Amino acid sequence: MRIFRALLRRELLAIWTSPTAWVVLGTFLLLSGIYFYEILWVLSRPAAPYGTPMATFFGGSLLSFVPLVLFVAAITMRSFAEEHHAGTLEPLLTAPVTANQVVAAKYAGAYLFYLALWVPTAVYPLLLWRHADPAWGPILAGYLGMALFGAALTALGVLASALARRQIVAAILAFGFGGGWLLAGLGGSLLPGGSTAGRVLRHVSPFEMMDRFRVGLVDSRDVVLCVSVAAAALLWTRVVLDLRRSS
Amino acid sequence: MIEARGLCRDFGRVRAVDEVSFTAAPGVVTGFLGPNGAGKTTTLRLLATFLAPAAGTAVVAGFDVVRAPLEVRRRIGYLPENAPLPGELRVSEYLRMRAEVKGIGRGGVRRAVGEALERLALGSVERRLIGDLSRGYRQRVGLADALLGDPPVLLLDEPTGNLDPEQVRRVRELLGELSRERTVFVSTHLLAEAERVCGALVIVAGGRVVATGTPAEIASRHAGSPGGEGEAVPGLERAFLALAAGGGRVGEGRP
Repeated sequence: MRIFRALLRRELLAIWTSPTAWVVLGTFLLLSGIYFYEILWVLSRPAAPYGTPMATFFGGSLLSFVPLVLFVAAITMRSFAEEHHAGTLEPLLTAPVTANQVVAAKYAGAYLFYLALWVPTAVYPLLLWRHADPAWGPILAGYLGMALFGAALTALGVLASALARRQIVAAILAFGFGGGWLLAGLGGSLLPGGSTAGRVLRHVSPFEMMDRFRVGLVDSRDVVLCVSVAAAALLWTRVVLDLRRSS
Repeated sequence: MIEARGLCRDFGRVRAVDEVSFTAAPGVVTGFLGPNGAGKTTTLRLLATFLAPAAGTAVVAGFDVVRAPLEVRRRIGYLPENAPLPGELRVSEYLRMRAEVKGIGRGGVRRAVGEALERLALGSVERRLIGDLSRGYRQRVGLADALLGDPPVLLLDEPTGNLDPEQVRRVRELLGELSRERTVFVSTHLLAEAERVCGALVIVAGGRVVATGTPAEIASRHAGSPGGEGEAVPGLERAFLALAAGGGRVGEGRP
């Protein structure tokens, strides 16, 4: 555990001292602030559609998913690709640590940063609370949904970083993985309801998943989906590291 | 102790390390000498378990690099080529992190880092960011890292590269001192370094071991070899030129 903590501390230092992290954090907060303001503005009009601000905030439109995939790609791209490019993977992997510890520390570092992105957004429901009586269940479920979706996206990003030797390639690959997942969700909603492909794609659709979370419905299938994607991606990351050693 | 037996490593179609066998014992600095692209760095990466061999094996500090890589890593201090280091950390932060990763006990970390800083004369830069240091200083930080935890085997890839003459002298003295109780295996392409520092040599060319022995033994074996363009060439250089020329193709492969 002590070794993992040392690796994680090194990872967090590397993330938080990089300009990319601050650009991502600033852009995320700016965009989420604008988005929340727009939601309040639209919902406060007399002819506003039905909806609560926070339910709309958590994945109420495709536009809220795409930047998220981009941000995660930007966070995770350095995990392994930068270390490989700079040569620092060599001292790391020849220290008495297991590949599992390295993968876990890299993932935990990136995921903690992802979670940190969301912390300042807690101001929004608190603002609502000052002026109204928001339902806290759906809000907490919405945050849980974003945390689970981010857990899977971050793992896919770490895998992309292990596959690539340059950060930019890792970012493109991570965006491809996340974008592919979003496209699968879109495909699910476009295909006929009765078709097998449509049913399967709707099961893995991040849009439908967030539709459930943001109304306060925590479905164990969604939890299992995100945890499975994260676990599979991290397992493959480990395999990629092993293959790099022997090929 | 290092015992390599028939180590092979390929990169695509290029065999970078070809049936490399040698023994390096404690008590002397063992030099791994060869021209650029001879397979020195790849061999060190195999011994440090960064790469896995395609064939053959090696026993480092009593553990097999293929079967027990973690045990090997616990017993080596490894300086990779060009000492790659994270630029965003301060020297002392980095060494502390490395000491923790190497499993040095909580109370021993400060002492181990302090000793390493003192040995490599890094006290004046311990609070500086590694990214702001000169290449020579970075090389010394890499060496300090290798010494953390007092490992019984040191694998050092070009340890005096990037250092100024005074630091080269100090590092050579340090290597001699360290080799009394440890196995010190040093890769170099500098003949002067091999002659001055190493009590035993393994010469590689084209990914193969072409000679082993003390510098004097190797030089005497090749005393009659042509030195090149009729010049007076010192013994070991003459031997090295002859061995490098006769070593077959030079593997250029890199991971």
